[in-house]
Amino acid sequence: MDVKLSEEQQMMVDVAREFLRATCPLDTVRAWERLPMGHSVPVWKQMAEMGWIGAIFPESHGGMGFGTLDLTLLMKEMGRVALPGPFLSTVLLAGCTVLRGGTEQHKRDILPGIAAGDLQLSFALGEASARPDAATVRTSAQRIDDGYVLNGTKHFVEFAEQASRMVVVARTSASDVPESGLTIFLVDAKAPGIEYVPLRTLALQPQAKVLLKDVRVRASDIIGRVDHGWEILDPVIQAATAIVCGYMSGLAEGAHELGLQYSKERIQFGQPIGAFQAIQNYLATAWAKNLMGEYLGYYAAWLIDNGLPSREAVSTAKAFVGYSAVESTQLATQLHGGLGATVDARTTPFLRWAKQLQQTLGNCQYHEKIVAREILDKDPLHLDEKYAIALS
Amino acid sequence: MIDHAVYWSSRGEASMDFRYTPEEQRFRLEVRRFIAGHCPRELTGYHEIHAEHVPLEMEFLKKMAAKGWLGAAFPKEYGGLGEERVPMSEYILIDELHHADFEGVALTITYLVGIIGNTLLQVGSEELKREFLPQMLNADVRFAIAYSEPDAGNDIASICTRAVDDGDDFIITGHKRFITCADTSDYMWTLVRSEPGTVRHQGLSILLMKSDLPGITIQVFEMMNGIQTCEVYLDEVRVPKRYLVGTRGNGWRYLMEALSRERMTMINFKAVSEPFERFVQWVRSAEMDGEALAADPVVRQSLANMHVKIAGGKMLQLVAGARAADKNYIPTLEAAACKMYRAMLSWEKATLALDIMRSQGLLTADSPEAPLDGWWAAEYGWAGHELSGGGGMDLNRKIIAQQGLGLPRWSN
Repeated sequence: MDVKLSEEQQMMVDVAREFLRATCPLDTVRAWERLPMGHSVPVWKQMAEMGWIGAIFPESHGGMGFGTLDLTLLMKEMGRVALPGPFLSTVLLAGCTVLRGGTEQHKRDILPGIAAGDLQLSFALGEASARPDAATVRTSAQRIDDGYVLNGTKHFVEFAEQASRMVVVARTSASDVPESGLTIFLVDAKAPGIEYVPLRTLALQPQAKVLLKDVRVRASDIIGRVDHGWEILDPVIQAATAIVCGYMSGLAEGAHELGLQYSKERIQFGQPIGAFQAIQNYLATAWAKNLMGEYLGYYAAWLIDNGLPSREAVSTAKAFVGYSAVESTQLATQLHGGLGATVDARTTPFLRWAKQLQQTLGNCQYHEKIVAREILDKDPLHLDEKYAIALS
Repeated sequence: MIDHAVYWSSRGEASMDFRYTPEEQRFRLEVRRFIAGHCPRELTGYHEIHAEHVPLEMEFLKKMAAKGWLGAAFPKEYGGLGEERVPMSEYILIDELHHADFEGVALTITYLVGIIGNTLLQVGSEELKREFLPQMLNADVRFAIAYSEPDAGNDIASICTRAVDDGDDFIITGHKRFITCADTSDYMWTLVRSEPGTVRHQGLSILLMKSDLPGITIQVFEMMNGIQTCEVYLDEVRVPKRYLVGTRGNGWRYLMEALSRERMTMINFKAVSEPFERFVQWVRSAEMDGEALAADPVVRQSLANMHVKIAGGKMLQLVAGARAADKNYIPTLEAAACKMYRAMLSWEKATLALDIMRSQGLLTADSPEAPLDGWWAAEYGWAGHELSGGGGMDLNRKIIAQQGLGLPRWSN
């Protein structure tokens, strides 16, 4: 049993922290959020040059063969500076769907381009509430001579208008089981019949409602097997959720540091406000919860990397970090007093992003429902006896 | 059972791994079988902290001692296993005792070996080590820890019990309160003010005081959760100076280091998670007012929410335990966080369980109809103790804030 990072991981984290500290001061990050692109393209390119963007792809496809845990650690560093960018949509969801389910041709067409920072993909699964489950999908795909025709509406598609291709999940067969009958399509983002309605969100990330009206797709643009798309999507979503926990832990930690620093500097009633026990209690509790959330995310990622049963752990981590990251960023805002409520407060990106990511890939209630199913309806896993896992 | 070694990739350089090594896992399952086979059910829970159970507990500790497990990490010359021990063996032993619901036994071992034994080993004179360590590791002797006083609870540094230098002896006078197991102890590990004119953390010392010396009066009283604890009155008790632990005036440092090292052994999350899991198992098949509890969306959501919170605590303990395996690292903050968080959850989980059981949950163990033998009604009482024992929740937050986060002390 060991909770330390490997030497390689530690080195990667150190390099990332230094680069992000130097490249992404808070004022700059806030300015990037307000760009039409919603993030800094030069920084995205720089990260691609360092191999970060495609890190989770195998070396044969322009990546570095990172595991889920490695990428969770890297994303935590990005979270610490609240760095915006299409990492979730382009890499973790769309890219990893191609990696897991695409043909060699798909992979050659897509993955090196993403890794080089040249190609952006969007990911259109959720509808209405954007829950990451199969039951939400109503968009239909009907068979025609040489392909399919898509009809439906996808909501909250991140960076949709900048992407050149879009991964769209649609229903090809009706079924009593929502997970069956789904198919994944790789769609040209400018194809006739696609209309984008821009949405601006709490975290200022550009998103869109995507209207699909008789959009034609070739059969060769199907990823995986017809009707069996969920088998590819489910593990992709699980891993993305664990990795996002890393980013959210980073937000929580970054905000906590701001709050802590301010508590040591701000003098009221003749002394630093951090000398008051009420403030100390807040910061101590948040510190402890952030540590727990951080490691619950690592644990989920580690289970995935080792092929061990991970659904309960992923949902537990996402629910826990959903609460703790929001609490930590709210605390940092509160500690800044009136300043924390100003438009340009340095805590605001953290506050907005923690809440937005809490709702992304399933909020706390969604994941608690999954946990309830795992602990109340299924046979206990006995991970400690079967796999010697110390946590159970 | 699947051979987990199959899943164990070769462990070259250090990297994150949440599994026990095959060696640790073998040891763990052996300990689990041993406890199941030898620890009598009368010692279940904390409620065993009661004079009538002492002979049973000592008998069991002797069996553990015979396996060499009581002080596995101690050097061989003092009766331990030295380098032959399984890594993390202390953590595993305590964890397995909690797993089997023997929290009181785990606490006895933590005091005996973890706090007193380890401190003696680190700072005790060779004479004291030779006199006490073999007896301790052989379970021949019982100790109580005598720190707190009527006016020194969380603020231990304000104790007034004084030790007056008198030739070869100290003469001890004072009043200790909440000294659990004093009535059944052979010795008390006693914090005294040995340097006249000192205040607060300065001038404190630790003495090993035989519990039946002239001038000692012990009065037993009961707590809300049914355990017994004691008042200890010390009236000019004469203790030979050779029973001084370490050097004079350094008591505070010894006390803090031992607490930091042991707080997380004392604060095992299995004491929260195992009863909660048993409760969840009960809910799966329980009915109330003709409806399955497990079908109630509010019950499901609140149980899942508690599961998520408890998972955080289990993780915290694991992180603290793994970091403490490095003997040069004292996990002060992780341990304080464990204590604080378990206190937060103890009452919360008991409250939730009682809510879900509706009025049935209020039935105590004396009622034949009580669900789960009335365990949760009793647990609700225990949770009150949980908030204060081993340093209160807010004290532990202060430790994190001031020692870990570098926040300043408040000044008038």
